[in-house]
Amino acid sequence: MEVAVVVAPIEGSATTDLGYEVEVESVTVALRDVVFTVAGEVHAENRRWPSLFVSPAYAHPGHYQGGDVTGELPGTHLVQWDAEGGQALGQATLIEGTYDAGNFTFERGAAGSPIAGHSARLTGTATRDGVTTPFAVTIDSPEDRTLVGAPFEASVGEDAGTIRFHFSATDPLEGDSLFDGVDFAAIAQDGAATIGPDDGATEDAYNAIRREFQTHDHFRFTLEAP
Amino acid sequence: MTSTVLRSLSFACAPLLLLAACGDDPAGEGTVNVTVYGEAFIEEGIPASEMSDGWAITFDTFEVTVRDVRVGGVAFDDPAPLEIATPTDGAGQVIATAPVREGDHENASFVIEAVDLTGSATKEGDTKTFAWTFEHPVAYDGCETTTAVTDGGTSTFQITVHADHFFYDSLVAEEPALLFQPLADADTDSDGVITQAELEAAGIGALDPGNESVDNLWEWLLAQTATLGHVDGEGHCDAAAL
Repeated sequence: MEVAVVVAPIEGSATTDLGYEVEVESVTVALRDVVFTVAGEVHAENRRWPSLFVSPAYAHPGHYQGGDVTGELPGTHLVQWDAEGGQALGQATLIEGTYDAGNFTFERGAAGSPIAGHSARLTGTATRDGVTTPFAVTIDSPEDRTLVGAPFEASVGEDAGTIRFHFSATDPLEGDSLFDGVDFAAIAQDGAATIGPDDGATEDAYNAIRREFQTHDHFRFTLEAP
Repeated sequence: MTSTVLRSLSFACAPLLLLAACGDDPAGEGTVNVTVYGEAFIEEGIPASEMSDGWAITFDTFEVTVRDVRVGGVAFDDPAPLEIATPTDGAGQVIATAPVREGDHENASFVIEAVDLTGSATKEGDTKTFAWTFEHPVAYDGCETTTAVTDGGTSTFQITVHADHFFYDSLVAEEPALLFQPLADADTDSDGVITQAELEAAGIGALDPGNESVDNLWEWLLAQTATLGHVDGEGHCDAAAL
């Protein structure tokens, strides 16, 4: 059956471990080939290596337990989260049944797109001690980098409704932030922080944000009743 | 009820009595040798041409402790820790032998209990040495290989250790780069020895742990230990830290 996939309003608020109140105003991501799966690796608490490493892992990089694919939204998409949401991504094809997770592969924005040559851009503000620092983060993901296990706990029946695609700056399960460890004020120049690849001055912040952004902690799918 | 079942079985077995005693397994059995092989990367080293950042790596020792090997439903005796940096001309080293029923056997399993390695990396006149012990058991099962056992024949089930995975820059990429530089940079006292303490104090930088929470380079290497074990060369297994 076909089910519409629509971008949900951004959930951009986060409090970081360094005490910043972050508001992410927009997130733009180039991605392709969204699939919906049964079983496989799903975002859950206690994923820490090694003491809490409980999920089976295939003995080779790139072989996550991706689950059995029973739904898909193929193609390349430029997904844009903002306060309103509502961007229609297309019609996914799903087999009726119970779902656990969604996977997708990061892409690079095509020429002419707002993130041409890059995988993602996030903009917003970070405030601490009464000082607000606007920021812009540009992320380049490795080629064919797949994000596995974004939660999608849903039972798809005859009247499936709509799939909402969420981004959250705060990990809803563990409570940590996409921006933990980032000292915005320290890396700001002229009052604003610009963080991106190939910038030695912001390398640590970039690596930390990219690592967290590429996990299943900040993306999820929900099924909205018709 | 029981006697009825037994009588039925006896009756059913009667035509077979001339061929074999009823209840006996008509299949034969062969011998399976379990070997461990570290490939050329462990026996000869990883040349700079294979690395993405120009470091060349040699292993002076590479000791693995393997236990709980099962092939074709047969549990093999646990071997002593095995040094696999010794050259074997591609043969690997036999760690256990047992009779196994004739047939094609899948879903073999084993545990790598510990890995203890020493070695060095060189680049442009710079040398870093390391001596690391990872006592973190990883269970491998559902391995992607078929061990064909013929009646009276001898077969090999090889546990292949992929040491280059220690230097992968990603836990999730299909084609990860091979990097030593992040580990070299962890030698913050510049004494040429990369210690566990230095690795624990070093962030993972641009390395990609996927969904795993890996906070430092020692944890990174620990995570990579779960990817070392393969079978018969490139065969994969389901792996889980114990």
